[in-house]
Amino acid sequence: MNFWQSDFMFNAVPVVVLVLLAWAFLQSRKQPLWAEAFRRIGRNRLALVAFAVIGFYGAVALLDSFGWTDKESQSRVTLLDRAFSGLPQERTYSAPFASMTTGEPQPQKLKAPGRHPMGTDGVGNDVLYRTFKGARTAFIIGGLTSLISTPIALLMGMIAGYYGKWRDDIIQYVYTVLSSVPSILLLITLVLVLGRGLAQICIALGITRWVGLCRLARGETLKHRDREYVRGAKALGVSDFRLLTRHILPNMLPIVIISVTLGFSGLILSEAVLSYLGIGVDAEIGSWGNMIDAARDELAREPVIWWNLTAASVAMFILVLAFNVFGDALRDAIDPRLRS
Amino acid sequence: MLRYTIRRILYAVPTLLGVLVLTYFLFFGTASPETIARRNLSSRAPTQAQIAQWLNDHGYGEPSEEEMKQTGFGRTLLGLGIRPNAPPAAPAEGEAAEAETLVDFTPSLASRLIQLKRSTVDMLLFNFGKSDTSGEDIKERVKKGAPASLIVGSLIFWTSLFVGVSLALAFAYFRGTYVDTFGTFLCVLVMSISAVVYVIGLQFLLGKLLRYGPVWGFDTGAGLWKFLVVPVAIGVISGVGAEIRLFRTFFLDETNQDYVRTARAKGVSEAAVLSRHVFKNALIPIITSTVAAIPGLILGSLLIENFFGIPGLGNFTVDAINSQDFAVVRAMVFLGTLLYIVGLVLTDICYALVDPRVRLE
Amino acid sequence: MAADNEPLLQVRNLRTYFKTPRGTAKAVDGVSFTLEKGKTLGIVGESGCGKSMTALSILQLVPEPAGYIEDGRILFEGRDLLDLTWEQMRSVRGKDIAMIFQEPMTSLNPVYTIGWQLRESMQIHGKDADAAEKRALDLLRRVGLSDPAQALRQYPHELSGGMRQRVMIAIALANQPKVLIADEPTTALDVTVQAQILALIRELQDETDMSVLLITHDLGIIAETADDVCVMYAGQVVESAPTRDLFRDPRHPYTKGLFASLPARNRRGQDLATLEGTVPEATKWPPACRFAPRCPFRWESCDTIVPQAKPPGSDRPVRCHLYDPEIPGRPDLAAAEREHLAGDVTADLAASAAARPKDAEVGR
Repeated sequence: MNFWQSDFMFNAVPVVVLVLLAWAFLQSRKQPLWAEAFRRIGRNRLALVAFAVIGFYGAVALLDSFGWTDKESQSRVTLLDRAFSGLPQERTYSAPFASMTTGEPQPQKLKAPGRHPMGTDGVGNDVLYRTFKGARTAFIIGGLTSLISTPIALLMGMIAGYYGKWRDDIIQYVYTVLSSVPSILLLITLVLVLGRGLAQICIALGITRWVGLCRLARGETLKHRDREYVRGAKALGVSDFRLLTRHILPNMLPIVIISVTLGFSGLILSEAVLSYLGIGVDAEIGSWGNMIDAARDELAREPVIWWNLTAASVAMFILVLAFNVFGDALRDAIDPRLRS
Repeated sequence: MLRYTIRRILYAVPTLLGVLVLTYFLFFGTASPETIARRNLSSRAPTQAQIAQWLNDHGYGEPSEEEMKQTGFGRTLLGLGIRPNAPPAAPAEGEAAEAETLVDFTPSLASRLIQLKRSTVDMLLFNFGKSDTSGEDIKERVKKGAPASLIVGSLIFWTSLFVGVSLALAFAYFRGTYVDTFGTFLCVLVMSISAVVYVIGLQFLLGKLLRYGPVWGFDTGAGLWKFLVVPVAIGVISGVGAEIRLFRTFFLDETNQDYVRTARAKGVSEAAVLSRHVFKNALIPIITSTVAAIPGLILGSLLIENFFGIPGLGNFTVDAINSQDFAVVRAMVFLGTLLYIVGLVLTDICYALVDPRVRLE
Repeated sequence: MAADNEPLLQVRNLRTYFKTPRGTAKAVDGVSFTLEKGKTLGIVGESGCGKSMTALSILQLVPEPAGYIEDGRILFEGRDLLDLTWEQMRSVRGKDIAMIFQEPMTSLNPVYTIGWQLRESMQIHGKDADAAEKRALDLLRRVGLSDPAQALRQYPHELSGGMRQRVMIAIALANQPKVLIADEPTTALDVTVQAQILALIRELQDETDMSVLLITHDLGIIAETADDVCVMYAGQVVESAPTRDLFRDPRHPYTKGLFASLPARNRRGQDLATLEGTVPEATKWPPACRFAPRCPFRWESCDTIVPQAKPPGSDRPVRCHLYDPEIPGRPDLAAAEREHLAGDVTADLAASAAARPKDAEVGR
């Protein structure tokens, strides 16, 4: 096994993400704008609940992101897997808390009767466990895509807005072309071409997503470029690079963060659509989209297998709702236009 | 007005060309024609001759210099020094079948460019060619599927627009009250549910539990509406939450404008302020965002048509995705883009009609 | 109808509050004044002192739901406007009391023609379409648009700022109102245009005998147009007097400060006096005298005893302890004056301010 796939790297990634998040939080608290925003969010009870929900999902995703290779099976087992290792895999479907399987001509007794709170799926996996597994996929799709699209969007947007002229023309042409293709069709095309891996899907989503943010960044840069403080700095001989990174970027950051937060929910929803169209993530990687997609057949069965669909869509609904509510609260707390 | 329209249409041409070049490279520039041929040839291990035959049939073959000299485009390429690969040496008689020489199918730049040009022209002339998998003529299939998609799509479009604008106006009228707070929160709830869940869940609820009429299939003539109600309702519900919220902010932004205060100071009633003054101004951003909803409409038609068995273009596209039929998907991407660009041009024309500040010259 | 000797518009103890996240902002806090028929009353003060909110309160156009009228009486021709229903109030707006605003650029609806907006204001008050059309043309001609027939068909963005303000005036006068409230009508305009607009308002006032409530931060405009003046500070009227008296003898330290910060001919070469500090936030007015933190004559009692609107020893309303003999150990005005305000402030102020209205801006 090479270094990049070693247990060390596997565990290092979530640690790095956590450290970066904590650092960003501590840094931002020093700035009056953000300190005020946090204070406002602290007074908004709904936003706090939403934040707690996101935190819970994040914790589940983290449990599924730390793990080490099991000696016997030679596969990596995460903390989440280990937490559920007491629950055996059943033969096939079973209803929540049932003691017999469902959907077989002769129902069989379960190995762990009454201990599957959300039942089991077609291959006998515990549905609650599969639902928890979906959290990590959702966060990876949201996070990785934002990580891919945001830097491109900011770079392109700032170059176009700051330098103008031919650079602006080229960048505008590129994003006009990209945004003229209805995003779902572009997404389908990209996934068909790139392949169906998790990373490929994130890249495809990133390509369809950067345009909106780029347009925003371009507009903001244009706005700031003509402000007195930028002109003043320019007159003092500050380099373009420094001007962009030290003066324009920080001013743009709030709006970028709001748009990324609100974009998160859209990304999580996209995963389900891709799975439905048959071009989502692999079935082995637990994802809510795959669970919902499987429900197309399950609802037609007799008796109806409803728990798989319910668990996945409720899990997804709550997370998306939390992101929507929190994003709105963040926008209300930061957006200078709304401040008196 | 006419000049404005024509100019706006001309602006769209480079964008459309860009899209065609982009999709060409995505579909055929990244995969070699050989892989495409192998994927679509029915036999598991096609012979070199079969591959060559397929490539020639589907227009991926290598042109000869003589062929190139017959067209202006080919002559230009040759003039620039872009030449095709030399044709493979004809195998000697006798040893043909057994000792097959390995043919290099890697296309030359010349053949790529010729294909790009031909396929672009074909697309613009709506000659979509044949499906890679079924061999069906794509244009015929589009003609057959378009009416169903158009009916479902436009019904969803106009219904959501009507529902969205009226509810947003109502929320704006009751701004600051519980109606507004509760309504907008309901919108957030509605827009947090995946479209896929709406399609699967509501079909199950209406069709199987409530036993509401037919929920699968399509009909022409009088019985059509029965098949339309559920899909259209799902299409509207899954998209309208975000729309209401957006329109509401447009209305509220306008109610804070100075001209609204002037209207009130004139003695205009609150209802008339909203319906006459605010409405016409808010129409400007609403028009933009409605056209921006076209991609969502296409997504909706993919999911809904496929799940309800409506024989439209969305269904056709989903089938093509599942069979990796690049020719069909590319044609659909082109049509979707064309629809969107036409929508954008129409928006600008509507702008000019609604907003006197848009300059026509 | 009101008796002849009764004033046209009386505002009594008006309080307009705003709910804000930081508490209740008392934007207008006990304002009283009287507007006589055919006269012009000026309300002057820095931005944030509540003068615009006072004007909006009269028409009950305070931005809802944050703002509300807490208390007070607004007597127009003898009836209290605050007792009227929403519908009754609507028939007062634009008909009996009309208003023009500071921002001519944005105060007209951009998507309707000038003619449409003029006709609308007449038709909602019962004029039929033909008559409205005819009067619209007359009005535009009267307010001095060079091509009124064409202007009827034009959109606001096709006109200059000064032209738009003329259109606003035409709209306000469409129904021959008895009171015109002009909220900073010339602030956004060029100096030359300012003078024209003010002259136009005066002419029209003479023709129709309407009363004007003129709100401005510009003492020059007051000197030129107003018959009486109310000086507002921090949501209250601190001093009111006939214009001539106020300019001859400003009494409240705030008023003195306003005059001292004006450039005057006989003080050329000297530094301009400035009012230190800014208006405090409306949620945190000082406890007793609201001007105390900025006042050069500040005395112990200023922070403890609320000054009366009209002290017993004064012949006109001045909200200041300096004029209240009942305040124990109040400072000697003359001594304080010598110390803080050098030179004769007001001698030729009216003349210079009228000649150079732009220079007379205060606290903007």
